[in-house]
Amino acid sequence: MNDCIVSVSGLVKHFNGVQALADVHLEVAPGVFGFIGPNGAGKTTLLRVLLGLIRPDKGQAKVLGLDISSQSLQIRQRVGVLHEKPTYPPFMRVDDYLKMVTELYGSAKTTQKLLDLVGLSDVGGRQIRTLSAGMNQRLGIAQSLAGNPELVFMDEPTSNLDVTGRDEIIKLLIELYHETGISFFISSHNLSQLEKLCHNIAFIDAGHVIEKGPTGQIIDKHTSGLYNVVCSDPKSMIHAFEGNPDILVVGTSGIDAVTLCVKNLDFKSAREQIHHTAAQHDIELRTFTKANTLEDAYREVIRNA
Amino acid sequence: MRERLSELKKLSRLELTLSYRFPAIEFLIAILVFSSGLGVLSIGMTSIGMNLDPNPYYNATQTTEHYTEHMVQKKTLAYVHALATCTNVLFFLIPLFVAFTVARPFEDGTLKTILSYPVNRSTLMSVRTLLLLSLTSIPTIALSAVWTSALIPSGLNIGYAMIASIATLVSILMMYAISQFVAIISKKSSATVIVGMIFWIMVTTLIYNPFTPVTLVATLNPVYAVFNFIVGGEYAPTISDLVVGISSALAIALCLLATSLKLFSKVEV
Repeated sequence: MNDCIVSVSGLVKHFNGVQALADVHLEVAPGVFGFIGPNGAGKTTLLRVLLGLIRPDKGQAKVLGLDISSQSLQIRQRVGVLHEKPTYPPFMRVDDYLKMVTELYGSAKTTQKLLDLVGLSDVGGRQIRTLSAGMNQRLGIAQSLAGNPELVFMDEPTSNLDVTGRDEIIKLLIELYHETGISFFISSHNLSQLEKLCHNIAFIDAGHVIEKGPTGQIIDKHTSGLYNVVCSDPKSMIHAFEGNPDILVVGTSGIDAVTLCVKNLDFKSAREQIHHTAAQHDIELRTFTKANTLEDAYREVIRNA
Repeated sequence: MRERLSELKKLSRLELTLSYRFPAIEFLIAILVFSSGLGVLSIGMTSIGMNLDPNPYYNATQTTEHYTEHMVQKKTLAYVHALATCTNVLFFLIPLFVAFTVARPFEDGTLKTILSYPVNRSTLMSVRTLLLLSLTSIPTIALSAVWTSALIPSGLNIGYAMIASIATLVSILMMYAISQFVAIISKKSSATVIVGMIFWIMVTTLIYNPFTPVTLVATLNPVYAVFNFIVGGEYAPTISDLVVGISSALAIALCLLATSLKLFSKVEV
C-alpha cells in the first residue's frame, strides 16, 4: 500500500533473549489508528523502533514512506511523539519549554497557539512541576504538535489520568483530528476509549499482531453471537448451559454477569432459549444484551489466540 | 554550514537549560575561583631569600636580575599551581557533572524525549562535550591567569604557561572522556560517579608516589607533571617525558571520545 503512514514487515526484536517483537507485519492507513495489547505485549517496543530509539534485530519498517534505519532524522522532523509517562524539565516554564521544542523543529508555531490548541491558555507562565497530571498530559500533546507533524505517535496517552481526565484527552484528540487532519498512532490498553477514537485497530499479544482492520469490522467479526447476561446466580447459569450444543459459556464478565456464545440463533430466539433455561433452573435474568464492544471483541480474540 | 551552526546553537541552549540549571554553573565557577586563588596564594605567599651581602664585590645589577628571574619563575609556578589545583578539583567534579548531564537522562527518560525530536545524536553529544569542556577549562585558565596577575606583579614565562595551559586542557579532556565513556556504557549515574571517584583516587595515589614512572605521571595528570618540571628536582620529568605524557593522555582521550560518540549513535534508549 503506497498511502500507508506506517508499514512494518517482518520486524523482530529481542531484549536479553526475551522476544519483544516476533515477525510483526502491519500497515497503517491515514486516520486514527489504535495499537492494542496487554502490558508487555510489545506496543512500546514497536513505537521505539519506529522512532529510531532502538534498532530491530530483523525486518524493515517505513514511517511516512521513510526508512526507519536510514532516515530516522527526517521521520522525527515530520512526526510528533507523546511517550508514556513523559519527563519534561520540572523547573522550566511551560511556554519556555514549548518555545524550545518549536525551535528544535524549526517550526513557526507560536507557544500561545499550541497552548490554546490543548486548552492550556492560562498556564504558560507556570513551572512544569506545578501542573496536574491532566495538564502535564496536555503539555505532552502540545509538544507533540509543535513541529507541524503529519503523524503523532502516542504511547498510553491516558494511562495516568482519572476518568474525567481521560475523557477530556479523548475529546481533545477527536477535536484535533477534525481540526488539523493529523493522523494518530495510539498505543494503549484502554479499549473503551480507543473504540470511540480509532478508525482502524490492531491487537498485539506476546510480540505477534493477532488481528488488524477497521474497528467496526473487528467488533462485528468477533462479537457475532456473543451475549452478556446479568443474572441472580451466575454459577448456576454456567452449570445450566454445560453440554448445550447451541449455547456456549464464554466466561464471567462481571460479578453477576456471564458471557454466552450463541450459535445458529437470532437475537430473539437466543433470548427466549436463555430465558427458558434460566427459568428451569430458578435463576432470575436481570439484563440480556448483545456483547458488541471493542473490549468484548478483544477478549474473544485473546481467548482464541 | 549555517544550518549546522544554527543546530549547534539550538542544542547548546537546550543543553544549558536542561542540564545546567541554576546554580550548577555558579557552583562550578565559585569552586574554581576558590581553587585557583588558593593555588596562586600558596605559591605567592612564600617569602624569598635573597643574599644582599654588602661586600665590595656586591653586584647590584646581577642581584636585580636574579630577583626578576626568581619572580618570573614564582609567577609562572603560581599560575601552573593554580591550574594543577583546579584540575585536581575538576577530576573530582567532572564525573559528577557527567553523571548528571549524560547518564541521568538515560535513567529519567529525558533522553528518550529529546531523541524523539529531530535531533542528531552526534551533534547532541558533541555539544555536550564542548559545553562541559568550555565550562570547566575556560574558567580554570582565565581565573588562574587573573589571580596570578593580580597577586604577583612580574613577568611570566609564556612558554611554560602555554605548556601548562595545554596540559590542563588535556587533563580535563581525559577525565571527561573516561567519565563519558562509563556513562554511555553503563547508562547509570551511580556507576559514572563511582568509576570517576576510583579513577581520581588512583591518579592521586599514583602521582604522589615517588616510584611511579614520570611518563605515567605525565599521562595521568599532565598539568601536575608540568608543575614538577618547573619546580625541578630528582623526580622532575624532562621535556620529552612531558611530550610523551601529554601526547599519550591526548590520544587516550580522543580514542575514548570517538568510541563514546560511536556508541552513543547506536545506544538503545
